[in-house]
Amino acid sequence: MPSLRIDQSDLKCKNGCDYFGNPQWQGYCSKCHREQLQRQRRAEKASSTLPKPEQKKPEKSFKVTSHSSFSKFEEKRLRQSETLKKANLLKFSVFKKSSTEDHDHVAEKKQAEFKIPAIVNEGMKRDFRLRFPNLTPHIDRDSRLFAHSFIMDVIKHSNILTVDELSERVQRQYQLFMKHMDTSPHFVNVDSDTKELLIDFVEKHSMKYLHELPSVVFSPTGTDDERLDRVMSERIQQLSWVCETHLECKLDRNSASCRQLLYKAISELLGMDAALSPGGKVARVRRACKHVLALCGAPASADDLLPALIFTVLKANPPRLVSNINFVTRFCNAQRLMTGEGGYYFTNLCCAVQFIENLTSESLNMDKKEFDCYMAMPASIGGSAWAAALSLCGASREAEEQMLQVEKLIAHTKDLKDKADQLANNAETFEKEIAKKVQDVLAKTPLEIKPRRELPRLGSLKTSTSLLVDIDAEKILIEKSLQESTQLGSTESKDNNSAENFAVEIEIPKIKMDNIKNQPATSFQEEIDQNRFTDTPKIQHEPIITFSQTPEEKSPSKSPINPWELKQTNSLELLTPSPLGFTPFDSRSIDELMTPDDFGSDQVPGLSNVNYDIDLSDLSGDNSLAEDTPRDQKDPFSPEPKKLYPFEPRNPFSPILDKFDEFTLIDTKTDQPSDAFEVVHRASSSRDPFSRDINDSFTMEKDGSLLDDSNSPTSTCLLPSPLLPQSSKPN
Amino acid sequence: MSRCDFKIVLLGSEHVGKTSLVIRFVNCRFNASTPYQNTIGAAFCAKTIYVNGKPFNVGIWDTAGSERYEAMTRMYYRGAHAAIICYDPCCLESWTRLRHWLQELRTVEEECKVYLCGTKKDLVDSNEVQREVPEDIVHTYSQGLHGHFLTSSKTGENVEELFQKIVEDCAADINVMKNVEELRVQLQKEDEKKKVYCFC
Repeated sequence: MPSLRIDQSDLKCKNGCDYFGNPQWQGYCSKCHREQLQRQRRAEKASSTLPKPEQKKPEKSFKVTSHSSFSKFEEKRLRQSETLKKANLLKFSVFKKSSTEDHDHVAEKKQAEFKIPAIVNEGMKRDFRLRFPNLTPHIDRDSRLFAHSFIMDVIKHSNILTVDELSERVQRQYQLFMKHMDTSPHFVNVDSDTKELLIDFVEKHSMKYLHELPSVVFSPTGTDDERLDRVMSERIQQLSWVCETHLECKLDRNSASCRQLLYKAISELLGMDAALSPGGKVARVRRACKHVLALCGAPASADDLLPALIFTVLKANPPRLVSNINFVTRFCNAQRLMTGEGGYYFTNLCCAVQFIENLTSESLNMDKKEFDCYMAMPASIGGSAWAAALSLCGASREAEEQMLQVEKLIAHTKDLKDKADQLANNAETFEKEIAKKVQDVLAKTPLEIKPRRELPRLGSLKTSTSLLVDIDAEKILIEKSLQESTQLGSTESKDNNSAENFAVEIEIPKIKMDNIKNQPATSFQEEIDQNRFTDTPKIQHEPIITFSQTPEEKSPSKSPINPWELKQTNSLELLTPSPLGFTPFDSRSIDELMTPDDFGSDQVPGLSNVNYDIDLSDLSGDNSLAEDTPRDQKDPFSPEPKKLYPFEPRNPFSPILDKFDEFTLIDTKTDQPSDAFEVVHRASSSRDPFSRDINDSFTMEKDGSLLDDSNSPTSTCLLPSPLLPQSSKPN
Repeated sequence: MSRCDFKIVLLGSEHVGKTSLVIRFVNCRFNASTPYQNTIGAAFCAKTIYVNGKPFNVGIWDTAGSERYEAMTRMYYRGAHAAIICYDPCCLESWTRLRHWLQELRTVEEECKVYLCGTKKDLVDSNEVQREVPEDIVHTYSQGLHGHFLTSSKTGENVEELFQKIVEDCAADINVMKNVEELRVQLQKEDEKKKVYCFC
């Protein structure tokens, strides 16, 4: 925290107005500083006769120019801070006045102070760690501190000093830092080479930031740089006709390597403008000159280098050349610029530029008339040969780059392919391994299929059901079924089937039947064996035969024996409902959903019924479980049990549309006598519940032979038994 | 290699043998039959020279001798610690040009040490060519300068000595300069008391 180090009194405004001052405002507070500034400006305006000095003005006006332009910048910033301050005032106006002012001043101070963006600091930190990983954090901190003070110093003085003075000041800053490195204990262990690098480092980062500020260090206001840039650019364009023979340099236009080198040198020269720090620019120049040297043939002396470099500059025509050169000469570390290798090449570049500037017919060793003639020529005509060669070079280079890119891509795809192959291999081996493992495991622990045990369950179920249902009725049923079965046994198997089908029809929940079918043959057998009701051996034989024939034939065998049993074995759900009237089936619930209303309006003419039926069709029974359960409970005890039955079997499985058509038709005709309903429904139900294709065919066959005889008695018997004994009575 | 303690500038007319001198010095080699060989970038050379066991990195700047570039050559002088002005004893013209260089040098960089260097000593010694520059004139002229050497890049005669002498002189001088510099900086420091703000 900087404030902790500085004495409180130092922070106050120099005017003594009790507000905090700021070194950025020469120790005044913001208000006093602004006043001071305005006073100063007024004085300046009065003193200087030039309201807005032009760039071309001689040295004297530099100060004024730079100052005024910077003050404009300053003013803008101040204005900005002022508005912010107002906003702050508004914000704080709620509070007490004293606190408001304090807050305000803190905020204002922060706003108006010129702050170097944190990026500079951060960037330095990062770069330092990258470049000097071995140096202590003290050095890092020192260099950053120095860069900060350096930037602040330059900015502070850029509005006061001329460019030359500023450059001097910058040079002194460099020297200061060098001295600091020589004397500071932090730098004791640092060798001179690293110190040199550190200086470069500081220069790079501070100048990089300053370079971005407009007109502070790069082509600063008060200098001719920008105009000279344009002049130089035009001049070079005009001299595009100058070729290697004029400069007496040994360049071979036809050699591809020569063209390549020239192209490289030119691109480096063009890159100089993009580099931000003086060091970076010098490095670019150095690289360019290296290429030029190679261009001259080794070992090239200065006599070779200079003309070739001049030629290169002429061909390159780098943007903002003068500005760049001036920027480097002014703000690069002079020590480095004067002594190092980079300095040498930069000097050569300066020479080249100067030569171009002062180029005459004599310096090209040519006739003056010819020279004038060339100069009068439009720029576009001359130098086409080299331009073509260079553009060719550029194109070839681009092609080369693209080739590289393509090669890279190819390598990449190859890599990918390899990886994919590897992955496939892995998958394969993995699969094999797994299969092997599985086989191993199987071999170790062979699977033994043992007969399923349902015996205990069946027994218990039987006992429970026997209690629930009227024994008399059961007995009757059994007797009848026995009779039937015996008959059937004597007759053909087909006959059996038909009889059983009847039973099926009569049975209320068809799902039971389905389940029966699905059950494995073994279980059936067991059941049958256990059934003590089935005394006759014939019956036992029959089912075995039927099993072998078709799946459908299984069901008939049991149904004659005992429909009850089947139900019990199949599912618990079916057993539970009888006492409580609980129906787990959605299908049933659907029936009941429609039924209560229907029942109420049963005697009402058929139209209303039609409507309800349609509703029913829409009902997706599955979803309405919650509603269903309560109704189910009511239903069994509801006054009209009769109607329940007919509806129940029909609805759940019936393909809805067909049935309803039928239904409606019947209603309209017969004015809904309940018996009529029943008939209709039965017919439909018999078909629907089982898969149509096979069962229908069976039913058709049966209809002819046995339906009439056995159907009616079984149906009457079976209907009542499962759910309600009441229903059986009326029938 | 980027760091250089001293900057030595080579001056002289065309074809007096500046580049040869540099190459001889830097690579300790002179090949008469194929003069340009193995070395790249003779324009700028750097070499470490030891004086009293202390290493000094010396950067040697070659300049273009062609007359049409003469006007720009003064740019090279800037910050030079020493300058070697070369002349060909067998070429009077190169000697007359020498005065021109000297004048230029004096106006731009006063403190620069100047050394005269007559090249192609082997030719002179072997009497293959006529000596055109009288020795006595050279002698009198060199009185006001830091030294005079007659060298041969071909044999390497006096080349090492020349540069050794230059670096020794500079090294002796640099201590004095450094002290002066320190004093100057200190004075500046006192002049402007600066507050360095922490920006953490």
